[in-house]
Amino acid sequence: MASHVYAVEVEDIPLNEVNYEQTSSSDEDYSHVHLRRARTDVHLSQRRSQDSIRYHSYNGREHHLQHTLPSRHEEIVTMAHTSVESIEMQFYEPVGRRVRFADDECRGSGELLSTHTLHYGSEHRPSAWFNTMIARRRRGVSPNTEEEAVDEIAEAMVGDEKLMSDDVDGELKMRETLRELTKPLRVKKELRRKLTARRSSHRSAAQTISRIKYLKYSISMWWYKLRQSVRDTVHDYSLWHKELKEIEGTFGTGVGSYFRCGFLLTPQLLAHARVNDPPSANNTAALVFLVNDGSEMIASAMRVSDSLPNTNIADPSLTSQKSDADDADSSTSYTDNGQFGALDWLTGAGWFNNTELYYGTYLNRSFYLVTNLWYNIPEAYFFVILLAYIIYFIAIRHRVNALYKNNYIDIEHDVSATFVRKVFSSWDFSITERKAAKLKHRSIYNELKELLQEFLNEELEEDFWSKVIGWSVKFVFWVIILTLLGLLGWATYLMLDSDINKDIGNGFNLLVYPLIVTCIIMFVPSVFGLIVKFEGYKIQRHRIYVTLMRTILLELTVLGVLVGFWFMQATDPVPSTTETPVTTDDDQYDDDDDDDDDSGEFISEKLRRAAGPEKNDDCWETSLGQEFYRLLIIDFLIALVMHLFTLMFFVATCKNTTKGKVHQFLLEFDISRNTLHLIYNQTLLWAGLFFCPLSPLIVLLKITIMFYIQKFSVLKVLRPDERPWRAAQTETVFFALTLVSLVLAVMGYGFILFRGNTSSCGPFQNHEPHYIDFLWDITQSNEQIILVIISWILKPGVVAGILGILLILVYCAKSMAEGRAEMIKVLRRQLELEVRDRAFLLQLTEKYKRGEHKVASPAQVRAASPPPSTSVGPHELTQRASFVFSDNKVHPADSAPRPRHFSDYSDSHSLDRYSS
Amino acid sequence: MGNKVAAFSEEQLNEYQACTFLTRKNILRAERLFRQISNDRWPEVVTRECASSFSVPYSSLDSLTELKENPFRRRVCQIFSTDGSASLTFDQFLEMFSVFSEHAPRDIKAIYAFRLYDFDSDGYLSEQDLLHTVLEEGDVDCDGRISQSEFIHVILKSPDFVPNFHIRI
Repeated sequence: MASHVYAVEVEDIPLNEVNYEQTSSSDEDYSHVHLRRARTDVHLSQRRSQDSIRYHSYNGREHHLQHTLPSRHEEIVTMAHTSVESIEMQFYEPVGRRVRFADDECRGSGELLSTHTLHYGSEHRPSAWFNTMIARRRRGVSPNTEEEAVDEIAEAMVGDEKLMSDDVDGELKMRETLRELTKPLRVKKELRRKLTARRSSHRSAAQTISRIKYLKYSISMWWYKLRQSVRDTVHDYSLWHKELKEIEGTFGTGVGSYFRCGFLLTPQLLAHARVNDPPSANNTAALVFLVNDGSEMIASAMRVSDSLPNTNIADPSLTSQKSDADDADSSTSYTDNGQFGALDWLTGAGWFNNTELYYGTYLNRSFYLVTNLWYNIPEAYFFVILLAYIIYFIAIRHRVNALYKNNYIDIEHDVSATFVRKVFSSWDFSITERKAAKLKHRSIYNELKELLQEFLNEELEEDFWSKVIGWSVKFVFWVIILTLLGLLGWATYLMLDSDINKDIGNGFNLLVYPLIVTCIIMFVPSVFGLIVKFEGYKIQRHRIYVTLMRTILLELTVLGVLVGFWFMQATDPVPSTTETPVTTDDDQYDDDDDDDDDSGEFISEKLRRAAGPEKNDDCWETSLGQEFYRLLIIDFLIALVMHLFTLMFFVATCKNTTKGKVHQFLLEFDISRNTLHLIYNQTLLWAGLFFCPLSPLIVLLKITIMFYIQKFSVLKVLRPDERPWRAAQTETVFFALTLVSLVLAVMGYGFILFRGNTSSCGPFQNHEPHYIDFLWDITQSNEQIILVIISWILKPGVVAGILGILLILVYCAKSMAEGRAEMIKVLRRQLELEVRDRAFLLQLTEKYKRGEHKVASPAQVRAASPPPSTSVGPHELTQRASFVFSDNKVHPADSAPRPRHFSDYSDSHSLDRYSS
Repeated sequence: MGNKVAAFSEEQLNEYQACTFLTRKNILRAERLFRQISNDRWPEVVTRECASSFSVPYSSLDSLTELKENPFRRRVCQIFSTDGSASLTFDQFLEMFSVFSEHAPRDIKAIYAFRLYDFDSDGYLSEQDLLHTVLEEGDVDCDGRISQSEFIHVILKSPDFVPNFHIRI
């Protein structure tokens, strides 16, 4: 409804009237140039005739005429900017998107009233009050004092029924609008007071509000306020606020973002990942708030999810352990109860075997919480972990999406203005230390230099052979590194193999493998970093990416070998069971429980044989969980030792040097390495979650400690990297990598669940032969329908169909993106043409003034120009410039001289004199 | 946090919250900062008039940790003070942090960034403000200067802009 009002207003006020006005106005200067469909110039003449003083010599300053050409070209800029959405719509409402107007506050020739248009994109029309303002400006009404300005805005807002509506939407909308006004706070406060008064009187005037409506209003208002306060408290008391400020102050946003995003990845990440898009319009405000709210719920759920496995599962299983203590089955796996050695903290074996740390401890039981409510551990285990993964997945995917959109897609099609961007957005406003400021100066300098270098190098085409050599060198290096990775994987496999066949006590032997693996993961990446320098990647960023990729591959290899090894240990001894069950019906397994138990024992026997006599836990999942535990702990210890070393190194060098030179000896803080380390931890967490359900807790603890240690060493001992760190883009890459590692982990689990054999421990022990069979068991025991649905979804035809639809969607999106890029080009071109028109016109005016041209007679004009067409299509606009002159020459736009800048027409300034 | 709210009445705080992007806690933090630099002339209980009339000169704003290393600090203070003298009242001070807070939408940030770089305050970035190369790139409509919308158009595409244009209070 309001949009209708809008259309009427806009269409009515400026265009038609003005068109009429132009013919009647006394603009003799321009009458010799006959323009067809020249809306811009129409506005120009209107303004010139009406309030030239205010527009042109505002603040006593003379402004060039073309500065104040109103909306057309600005609009196109905006369109090029927002052309991603619904370009056509914009074309047909060419007026009034934005307006500049004289105002006491603004010192220039004008300002945006608010960020309205840009902010809400083009999919929503500007709200009514905004249009009222524009209309007033176009009529030449504008306030002289601040009070008047306030009154005017207030008036306009009161007139806007959306803003003044009684429901919560109106209230919220009002808040948003007020906030986004780019006016001084004083004005805003004044406005708010006025509007609130008006609102309350408005409401009391309309006493017809029903009680239910009022109730609804107050409830939703209360809900909004509650949410707001929750959000604010979360923001205010977010972890490490002070520390982050300190770090950002000394090191700039790059390192800050490492600390912020890296460390908060585990528990707290999403508090920052709020949806950035603000509410778009009145009716969608609620929706976006919902989204906002949703993402925050995810954030809180993330936090909860860390504690979920232990609260939901551990406690019940404890009780179940107690209740089933006399059960023979459960007691078998806890033979070595009791003694607790100090070494257990490191190995995670021994005493820890019995705790809820590992998979094997959870039982295949359901028990009664209260008399009627039973609690099934396998179900709980499965679904909680599934939930944890899903939440992690959504959270990270959401973040990657937002980052990718902001940092890649939005920029991709428009890479023209790199220098501008660098110049205007390089300075980091969060820097508070002298040292950091100096460093930033240098880094900006370096970056600009690099950019210029790239810019200059662009023209240099390499010849074919050097290209071939470059590629082959890279290829060889890749092959070398991949073989290296393969060898490493093989070596770790052998190590595990010998470990398991050896006579293992609970001694340090257990620690050898994780120690070596951790060392590999710590130090091999720096080797990669060295290697990459010889490969001839020209751009710094590519080097970083290649190293990243290799490091991730390394981590995946090691972890993959680990999981694969244990998995094979579990499956290899019993090849017969892996072959049979896939094809057979599920019903069979429901009936014969005895069979299952037998085969379970069979497996465990085999396992026992494989694992050696000393290893009395027949549960490969638990062993694997232990491995993960060890990896986590050892990694932590080694990191600690490393930090100690850097500290000692620092102290040692400090002794020998004078104070001023200390800075040179500081080690660099390599963000990418440290971030990779965090990702490694994260991957460990995901890979180990199934086998070691309490690992999130461990990781959380570890990361909290690491945060403080790193903060200390960063602030005291290390110095920031001088190389420019493109925080935003690299952050995206990191998150993408995290996502990849998550997906891989989940896929691995999927494989294990579907193909792996259950062992005789853990929550799935009686569901043979695969883990996933427990799900079938559930579905069979409850409802058949779910099974039917699942099996229908898994049919190849359906899967293929879904894939096909996805492909089509991707194709559509891609071609749409291309179309928009094309559109942007067209618009840019159009803009350029218009500017040339204008320049040409001005030049002609000058000439005419000097008496070099004569006005064409109306008859000649009519003869020379084709009849005006009625509709204005987007592309026709570009072709509209053809002028007729007294010498009967038709100058098409393209043959006009092409000015780079208006300063080429220095005498065009004198037009101002005509206007006043 | 009831007892901390002494400097403002509940109504004032609500007002500030409604008009800025700051949270309650941030407003109080800003108040503490302002108290620090105002040499004890800032009253215990802040009235409305006081907040909009009592101004701190640039010389003391200069010493603020958040600003002291910023090469643009004078400009920052200037664009938020009404008379261009770079001395700020509390309202203006708060407004500054509001714009630099992380809740502020990037368009708002961009508008203020434009004002920041518009050194001669004529509403355009022209040759007095800029180097030639930069000018040519940012100038979409080739009129020899960068207007506000051109600036916003360009700057919003820069991934580093929003994180960098941020002061943690």
